[in-house]
This record gives sequence, C-alpha cells and structure tokens, in this order.
Amino acid sequence: MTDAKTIAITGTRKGIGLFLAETFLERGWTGGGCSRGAGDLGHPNYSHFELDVSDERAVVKMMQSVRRTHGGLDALLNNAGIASMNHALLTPGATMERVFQTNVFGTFLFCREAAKLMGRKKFGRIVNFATVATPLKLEGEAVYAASKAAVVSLTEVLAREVAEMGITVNAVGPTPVPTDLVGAVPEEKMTALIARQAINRYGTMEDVLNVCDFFLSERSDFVTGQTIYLGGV
Amino acid sequence: MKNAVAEMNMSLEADKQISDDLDAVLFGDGSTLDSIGLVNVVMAVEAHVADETGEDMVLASEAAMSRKRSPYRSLRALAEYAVEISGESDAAA
Repeated sequence: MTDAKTIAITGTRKGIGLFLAETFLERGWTGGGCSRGAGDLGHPNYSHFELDVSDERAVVKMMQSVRRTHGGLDALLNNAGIASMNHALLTPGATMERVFQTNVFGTFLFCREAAKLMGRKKFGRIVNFATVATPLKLEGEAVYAASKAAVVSLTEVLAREVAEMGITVNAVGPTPVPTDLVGAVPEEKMTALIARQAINRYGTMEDVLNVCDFFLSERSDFVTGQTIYLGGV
Repeated sequence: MKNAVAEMNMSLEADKQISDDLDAVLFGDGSTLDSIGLVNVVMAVEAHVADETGEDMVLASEAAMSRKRSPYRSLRALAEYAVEISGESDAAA
C-alpha cells in the first residue's frame, strides 16, 4: 500500500463508510468523516463532522477544516448514500428530493470542494459510490438507481474537468452488501438480485475496499472516469 | 489576494505569471490565464481568505458568473466581491 495520506470519507457513522474509515486509520492515514448524527469513531487522527452532505455551507466548512487540520487532502470516498425501495407509483416527490439531495448533490459538493484542495497539490483521488441497481435496472429502485446513474455521469464528466490537476475521479458499484441499506428488502428479492450477478454471492466490505484501493493507488494515475461494478454485473 | 497570486506564480512559467497589481486584468482580454488557471486562482484565494479571516466562502456563484461586470476581471474586483458576500457567509454559518 502507498504511504499514509489524508482522506475524507462521507457517511462514516455505520456500514461501509465506518469500515473504510477504520481501515484507513489503521493504516496510518489521517482525515475526516461525516454523518448526519454523531459518530462513534474516536481516533486521534480522525475528525468527525455532523452535517447533511447536501448542505453546501457545511460541506465547505468541513473541507476547509480538514485542510487546516491535515494540511490538504489526497483522497475522497463519497460513500454517503440513502436508498428508497418502493414502486415508482407509490414514491412521493419528497422521497425523490431526499434521495437526490444526499446521493447527487452531496456527491457533487464533496467532489467540488475536494478537487479545490487537491488541485493545489496537483494530486488527488476521488472515488464515488454507484450501485448495481443502475445497470440491473432493478424494479422498485427507480429513484435510487436514477440518482446513482447521475453519480456515474458526474464521475465521467468531472474526471475530464479535473484531469489536468492530477486528480482522478472513479466510481465503485457495489452489489448488495449486508448493511442497513439493504436490511429492509425481502429475502427472496435479494436472492433473485444476486442470481443476476455473474458471481452469485453477497458482496463484502472488503470487496468494496479492494476497488477503492485500486483507484486510490498512486499507480492508478492513468485510470479515471471509470465505474467498476462488483460481482460481474 | 497577493498571497494567493504568489502561490499561483510559483507553479506558472515565466511568461504566464500573473500580475499582483490589484487593477491588472485578471481574466478576460489581455490576461494570460485560461479557464483552468482562473479556477486555480479562485481556489487559492478562497483558501487564503479562509486562513486570514477564518471565513469559509465560495467565490463562484451563479450570481457572480452572470454579472455584467465580472468579479473575476481584476484582483480588486474579486476582493470587493469577497467582502460583499462575506456577510452572507456569516448569516448562513
């Protein structure tokens, strides 16, 4: 693995975000994370920020604080996300607003503020979070899949806009990983979904970490604008 | 502003240096800056303003972009724009 660096991770209160934060801290990285509520992760090299990722002012303050505390930013993992699983005809507009605010607006604001910090050092790695729900066109996930399609599109265009600043922007598309996000989905639905993958098993947090490690590697400086879906989707 | 320009000039070639004259053309006809260069200046100014005043501000906005007299035309205009929006940042913070 590369030398210790500074990283920002969104959605670190639980699930994959917490796992990623713990992993990078164990490796000696420093940085900040955020969630809407207080975080349990107490580590001397970690600062937690309680914020809504779609709150532009709060995101700017967090990233400036990370810059002051850690002297810059090398990597961003835009993990924070919410899902909505419901038939489209039963989905209120307010749900769509909430999902897009977190998944699309939040991802964009963090990319923008992170790229500003990274651009000053001519180096940066941004990893956004997509989902297999988009290429699998999962029924019941119209809003969630559409929001993550927007994330893929943002990833592809941003990759071109910040390439000459030495910043890469990629996305990882996890299959279902047993976390709260998929907890409410009936078992038979999950089985049917997993049957559509080339490799028929649940994803693990280590699978997600593996792709992040690839994108974050200094050797991946010629890899940008890509989305890697897990499980052979 | 001048600190941000000094930081920018460290990474710019001799013929692309930016003037730290407050009234020199920063962006537009007669400027050596391309659009990415302007992005870099704005990023550096935001960071220096944050360091020197403690205020985190975003100097790019739709309102700024659509003004007849661009706040990016000179360092003085950018400084005046920063002062103008600093109250808004306080209100939102």
